[in-house]
Amino acid sequence: MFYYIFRRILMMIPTLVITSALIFAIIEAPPGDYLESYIAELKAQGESVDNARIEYLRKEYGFDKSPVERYFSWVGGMFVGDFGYSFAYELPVTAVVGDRLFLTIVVSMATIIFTWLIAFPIGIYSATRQYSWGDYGFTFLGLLGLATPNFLLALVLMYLANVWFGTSIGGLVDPSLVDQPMSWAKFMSVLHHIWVPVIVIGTSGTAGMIRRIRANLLDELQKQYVTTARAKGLHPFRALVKYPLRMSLNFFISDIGSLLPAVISGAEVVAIVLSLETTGPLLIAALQRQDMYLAGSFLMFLSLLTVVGVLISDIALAFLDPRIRLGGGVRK
Amino acid sequence: MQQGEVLRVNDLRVAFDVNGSPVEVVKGIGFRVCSGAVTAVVGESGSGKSVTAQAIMRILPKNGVITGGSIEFRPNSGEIVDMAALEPNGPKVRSLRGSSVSMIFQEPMSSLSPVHSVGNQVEESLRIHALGKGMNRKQLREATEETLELVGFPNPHRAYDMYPFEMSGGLRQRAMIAMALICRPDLLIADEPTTALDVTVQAQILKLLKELQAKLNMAVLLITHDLGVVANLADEVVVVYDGRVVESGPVEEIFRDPQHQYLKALLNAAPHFDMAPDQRLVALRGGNRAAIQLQTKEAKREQPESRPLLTVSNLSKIYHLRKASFFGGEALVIRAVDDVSFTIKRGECLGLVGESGSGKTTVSKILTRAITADSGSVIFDDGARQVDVLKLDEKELKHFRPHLQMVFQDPVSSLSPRMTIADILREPMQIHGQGNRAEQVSRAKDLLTSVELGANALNRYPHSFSGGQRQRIGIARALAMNPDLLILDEPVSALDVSVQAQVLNLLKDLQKELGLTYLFIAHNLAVVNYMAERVAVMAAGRIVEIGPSRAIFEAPTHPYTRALLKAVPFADLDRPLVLDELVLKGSSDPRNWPDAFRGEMQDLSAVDLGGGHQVLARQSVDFREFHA
Repeated sequence: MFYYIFRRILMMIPTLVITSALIFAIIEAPPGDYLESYIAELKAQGESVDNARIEYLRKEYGFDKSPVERYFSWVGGMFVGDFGYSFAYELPVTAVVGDRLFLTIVVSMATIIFTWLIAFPIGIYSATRQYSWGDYGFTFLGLLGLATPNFLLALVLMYLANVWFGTSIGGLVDPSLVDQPMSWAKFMSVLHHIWVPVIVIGTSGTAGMIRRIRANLLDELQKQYVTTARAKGLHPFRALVKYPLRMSLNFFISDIGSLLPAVISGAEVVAIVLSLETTGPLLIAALQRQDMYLAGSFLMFLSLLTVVGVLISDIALAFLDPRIRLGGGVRK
Repeated sequence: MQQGEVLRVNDLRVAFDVNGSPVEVVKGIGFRVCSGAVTAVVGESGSGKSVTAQAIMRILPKNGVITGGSIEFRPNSGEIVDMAALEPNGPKVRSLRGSSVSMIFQEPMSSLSPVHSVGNQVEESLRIHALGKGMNRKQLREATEETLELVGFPNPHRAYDMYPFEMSGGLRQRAMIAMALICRPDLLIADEPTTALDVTVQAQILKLLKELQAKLNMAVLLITHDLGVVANLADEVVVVYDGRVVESGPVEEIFRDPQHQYLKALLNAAPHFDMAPDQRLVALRGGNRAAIQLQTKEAKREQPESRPLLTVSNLSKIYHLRKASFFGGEALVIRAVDDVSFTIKRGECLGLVGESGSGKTTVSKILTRAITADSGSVIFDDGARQVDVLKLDEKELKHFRPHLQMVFQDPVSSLSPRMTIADILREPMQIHGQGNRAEQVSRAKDLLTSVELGANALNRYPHSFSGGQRQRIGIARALAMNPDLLILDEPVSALDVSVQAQVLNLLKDLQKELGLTYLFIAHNLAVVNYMAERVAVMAAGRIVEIGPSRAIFEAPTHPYTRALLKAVPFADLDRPLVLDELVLKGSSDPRNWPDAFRGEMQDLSAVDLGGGHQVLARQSVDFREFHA
């Protein structure tokens, strides 16, 4: 088991190296660099371009070096916590992302928990009462949730929240508290605001998950060991929780790996509509402006999350399922 | 209900809801099970015997309902309950299930949860029923280990913490039995308890069931299709056909004086060891097939007697498994196929016998190049030239494939449900670019006729055919390429006895008419005896004995072959199973064989006993002592 985890962690290293190279290559791919788009912007606004300053910046940011050299200095910096410099904000990337990262994690976690809380009971209900009115009803709602565009749902909920509860439009806290340190009032304000993005971001995920839980559970309910459990005289509900539900958890746990990045990156459009102070809008802006270190470091962060998520789900799977834990090659 | 009866089923009717309309599958079945006795319900698949068992336990699938009759059950407490009248999942039924009446299922793997330890699952019945009330964890574990020991676990303490996938099929079935017996039920329902097991393991489990039944004085309801199992275990027999009882009575009457046509036919349909060399099985259905001449593109070449069609030499396949540990891998070597050599002459049928894990399927996969062998050669000689099958490259292999075709075990999954029969039969011809559409269709028609199916089958899909019909379609597909050699991998083991006879007869006829050569892989010795002129017995990746069928079945020499033959239950009351120590200890494990038959391959050699009968042993062995 330890060996397994050790090996899995070792495997992460080449994965991340390859991802970083890919990310760098993709960001380098469009013609021009940040300075050129900066110059173009200045020209478009009719301002004069100070060639000496441009030259200085070019040297300062290392644009005179070859892409390979820049790649290595970027990757090398990451090991010592230097993720590069954001041109647009004229700040180190860590300073730009830092605050937003915290809020992103809060929103994401709340969304994941929301998804699970709603999806599990409904999924179990639908599977055990297949083709009942309840099943059809939830299926309809789920499909509705899948089909509704998130930004539309965001606008509607924001309007309703404002009309019914007087919640301020946009953002995660009341505008009056934005730059204040954390306090009880600020915390409560966050709670007031957070449910709109959580529902909006979580809806389609919940709908998808209900369908998957239902399908997986239906498969498991057909299995012979469920009959065995019934033949023992086990209460139907306990038999359901102990055997088929436990088995259907496998898919759900292997899902965690893709869940983290999906929730965080899937929330960009919603974050813009709701003007949330999360990392999503930042990434989009950075990509538009060719603010390459900001965008690159952010993408690296997403890949790291994915890899770590997959690792967590693999370890959890090994703990939950003895076939993975003990079957790893000992028997044929 | 009379004195001594534990269960009495009267005129039981069960219907299933199929697309909104009820279909009756049990149409008035009645029988009794007496205290301390075994009642066997016999019938083929679809006869309603398993549904009857499920109805007694009230664990019918959701769309099944009891529409009539009564199921009177008298547990030891004395009070008679009508199981049919109780609420299906109500507290009363649940308190009886698992404690007073319990059940063993056919598939020991899928009947146990793969993610819970054996101890946990066995103990569960105790925890939820009155017997285990008030026990603490230590007492529960002790009681569980005691039951595990009762069903023959060598080390119950260790078994408690093991998972089903870590155990062999036989041990899993023992765990299943322990689970059913832990509350010491008054009635045990065994639904095909040994069907999925190897024959020597089946013998062990049958013996165990018999002993436990006597020891615990249980009433047992045995559901099976195997008359050999019935003859060895049952006191009373109920024969069901199409949801009705066609004959019932004490086991003596049933076997010695069968009355009903169906029962007589059933007794004649299974191959057995006492058949005359040219005796044919009497199939329940079909069998009025006229010999036909399939259009063959080229006449089969003459084969010199001295040159076999297939020569397999020194075939080996080793699997390396990495054993996970903290400091890295420790290699574990499994010899799936260990220095296997044999030949098949043209027109002959070689039977390859062995239990699961013996390597027989691996051999067949190497021959078809589905698996790459580590060493060895497979020389195919069609009379004109010799080729080493294992050395063919991609293009040559494609040209070679028509010579060697396969028929698979599972008739359901080996035919694509999305293709019509015409498509299925034409596919090999299309791959090899033989003929135009019209020619292919006409050949497909001929092929169907040759397997006793009408041309009207062409445009239908596999799901509209029965298991036996599907298997015949599989045979027709294998014949489409006009092959020299057919590998038949357990072609009848998924079929009912009644259908099995028809398919076996068909295979025999086709062999004669088309001059086919068969490699017949099976675990059922009687079937191999019926089909094959020569038999090779495989164990632990090696061929331990090979020779003419007669020699193998009448004078088996290798301890494994002998154990295998001893473990076959006969549908004959005068020949009960007598199990020796080797069968009980596990005859497929070389560690239990006498020294003369054990060792590395270089120490052993194929000792010739005359007439082509060879056995794998040390040169110095005196065989007379083993024949005693």
